[in-house]
Amino acid sequence: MSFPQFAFNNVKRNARAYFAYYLSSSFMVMVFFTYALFIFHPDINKTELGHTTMLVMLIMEYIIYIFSFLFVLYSIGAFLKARNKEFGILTILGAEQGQISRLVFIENMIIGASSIVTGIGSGLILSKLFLLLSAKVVGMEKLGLYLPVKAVLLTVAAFALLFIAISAFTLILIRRNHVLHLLQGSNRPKTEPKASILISLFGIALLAAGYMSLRVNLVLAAVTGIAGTYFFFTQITVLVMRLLKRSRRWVWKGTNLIWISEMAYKMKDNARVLFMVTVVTAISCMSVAFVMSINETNKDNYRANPYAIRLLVYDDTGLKGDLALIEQSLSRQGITYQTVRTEQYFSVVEDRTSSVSVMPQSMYNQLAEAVGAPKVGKLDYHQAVHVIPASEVSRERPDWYDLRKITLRDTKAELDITDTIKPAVNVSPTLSDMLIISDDEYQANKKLLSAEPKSNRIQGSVVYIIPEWSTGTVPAEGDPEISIGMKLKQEGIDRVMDDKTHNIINSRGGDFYSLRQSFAMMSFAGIFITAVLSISSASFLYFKLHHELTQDQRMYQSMSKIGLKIQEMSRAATLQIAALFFVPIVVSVIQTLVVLNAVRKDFGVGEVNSSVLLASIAFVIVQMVYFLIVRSRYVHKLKRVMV
Amino acid sequence: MTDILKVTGLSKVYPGKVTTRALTNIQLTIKQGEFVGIMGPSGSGKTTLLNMVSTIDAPSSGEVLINGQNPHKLKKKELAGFRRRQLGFVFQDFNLLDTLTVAENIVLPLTLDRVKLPDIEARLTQIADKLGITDILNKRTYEISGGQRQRAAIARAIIPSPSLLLADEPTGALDSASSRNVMETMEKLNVADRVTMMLVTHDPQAASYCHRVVFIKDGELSGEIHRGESRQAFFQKIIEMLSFLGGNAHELSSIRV
Repeated sequence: MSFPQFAFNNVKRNARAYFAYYLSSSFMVMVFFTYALFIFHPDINKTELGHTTMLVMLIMEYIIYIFSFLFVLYSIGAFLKARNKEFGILTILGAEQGQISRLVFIENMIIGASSIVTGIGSGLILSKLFLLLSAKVVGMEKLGLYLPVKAVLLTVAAFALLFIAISAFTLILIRRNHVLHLLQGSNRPKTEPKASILISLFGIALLAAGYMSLRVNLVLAAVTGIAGTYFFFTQITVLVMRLLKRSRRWVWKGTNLIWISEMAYKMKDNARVLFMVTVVTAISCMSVAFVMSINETNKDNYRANPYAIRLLVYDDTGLKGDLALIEQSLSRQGITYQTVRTEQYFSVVEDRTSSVSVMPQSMYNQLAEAVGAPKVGKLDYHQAVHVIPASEVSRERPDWYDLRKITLRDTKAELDITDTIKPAVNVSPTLSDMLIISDDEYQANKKLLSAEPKSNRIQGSVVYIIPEWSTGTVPAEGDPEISIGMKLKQEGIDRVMDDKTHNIINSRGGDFYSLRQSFAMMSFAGIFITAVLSISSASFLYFKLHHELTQDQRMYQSMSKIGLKIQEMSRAATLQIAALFFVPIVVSVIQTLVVLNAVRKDFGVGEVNSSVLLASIAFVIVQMVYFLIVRSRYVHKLKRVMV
Repeated sequence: MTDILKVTGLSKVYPGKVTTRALTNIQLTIKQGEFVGIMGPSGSGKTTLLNMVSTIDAPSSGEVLINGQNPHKLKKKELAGFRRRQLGFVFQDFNLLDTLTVAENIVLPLTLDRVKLPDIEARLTQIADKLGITDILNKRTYEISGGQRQRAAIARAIIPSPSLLLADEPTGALDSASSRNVMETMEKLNVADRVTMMLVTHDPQAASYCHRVVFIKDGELSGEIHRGESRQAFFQKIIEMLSFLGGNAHELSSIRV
């Protein structure tokens, strides 16, 4: 038997042990390959959206690669540990270090090569479906199948490199061990994991620092947060387990004694896996929840805006043409509408930085009448009413919210805020906070402002209220609001480009649609990557359990001899597996909630909690399915050794 | 005196291409408070017999009664409870859990039976005191010697006060000093607490602590001797009996590596 044959037989006869590893590796290769197929597709650059999608997928490709790297590294590490005894025997039989290294290397290459082949093969089969699906989302004509030479080459090269690099790296690891330790293998009793209070405190400090820096520097926050999570699992959980074990009343009861001490014992081993799974789940959960809440915010903004079309007027040069353009597009379709022309000026509050827009009472009441908002009564000089926009959640609160008396910087007028109203819709044509003052005072202030050269603080607007389009539900693709709105927006931009006007046409439906479109692609990529990561993390956990199976079987067998019932075994094992599967989810949901709530305002996103809840429910359901499958298989295998 | 264990006409056949008769028509009775040794050369069927008695394996024919109850007629669910309450086990390789402290290992059967904590603690102190392992209760299994481990395992076996204590080569993995220590512990338990014991061994030194030793050869009972006089003389008799039965010399050796 030659040496490569020996290696080959090792793999062949250990098929069961290698199978999970091989399957997961193939899966990684497959996903990587399908993305590559998309990226190298000859038709992809033909549309704008296709191009952006390609860029997003490129980023996903990197993420998958990094994740595969971690996964393969971990798997090989676990494998080598499990086979320490075998290496010890080989060493005693006189195998040289180099020979053992070669054995491991060849074995890894066999697995690597076969998973590359399987991955690409199944990727080719799947690619038809994938291209069909992604083309539909990206809104392109069907992406045809093509001979993906480049994608195949990239995948083979990337994964060959990955397997070679990791195998070479692990060779350094096995060289360090002593023969005695190798021979004792996994029989060598592990010491109970220790946790240091200092490092735990450091971990908590890191988590706190991560939270604080969330709004300052996202990269810093990510690094400290991830590091803190690592210490959370390696130190803090061990500490918690130790504290738990102190309560004899609780621990010395039923099967608690078994699973709690097993958990405490395995916690450190599990910590790294839990950590990785948590980070992965948190990232996926965050991206899904984020995309979902952006969609929600988009809808909320649509609903809060009563004006189907707004023309923001900066000067009168092109105004006539603008109005004619809008009027034509609307009346051509036979759409009835009502217009209101208003004016506001912007100013800054003394000692504060946020701006405020000021509108005369009569104009506000005109708007309020048209959109059904509460009107403002008679105002005296230096009296003002504050109108809060309905979709204010998504924006930073102006920093003058706490003031009852406001001094505007330009006019030096001190305003007394007598009332604050919050209509159900955004009455302001600029969708901002407004102060309403009496018409006389407005005119006086305006004169002061106009005296300044080149003042663009005064802004007029013409709003179009179209009852037909304002049904309270968001428009679907193909609705006239979207088609006319998109067209108007484009024509408006063209006019600005041609220098025919300085005024800007805003379409509610158009804005809504273009934002939704660009996020459809992100959601697709996000959900796809999430599915991949979630399956991989589940296979990670399965892999880990698989490695502990023999050890657990031995333990439960001796336990069953002294009278451990099958249900008790199943209960203890289930609790342990459940902890592995659900602790990461719980931690990552908490992290997602904390992070998204902290950063949502910076991204102009409204409420996020419901999206996080929805996303995490989806995760829990998926994880539940994996958990049930893995648990039943595991318990079934343990049952077989019960006497 | 009541019969704790009554084995009648027990046979075990392992079916297969070549059927193997492991045990043929075994009759054995152990009375309350007796300490009985089972000896025989390798492959004689000692362990098979023990597996039948300990309910781990089912007999092909014949009957095992423990305290008048036939465990092989119990359902698998009831069986675990039966084992937990009626039988105590001591194994050659201790079968202690590495993840637990000595105390936790000992109380495990009681916690599984959901005995109240004060009762558990009371039983633990009492038994640890009796077996002289009070100092090591909070140690981990890998921090103590083999003899101490076996005594911890004995403590675990007797803490639920089983009707019958089964020991499978309890000294098999110990050096001679520890062996003596463990056997003296067992003898003490037998004398002071009248724990009924069945010991399977091929160590004549260990067997000499029994009241009676039953010999098995090729799956059949081939005689039994009683202790009566001094342990030393009994030891001699056991050795004679074993060489008469024709075991291999190295198996009789009490020197272990």
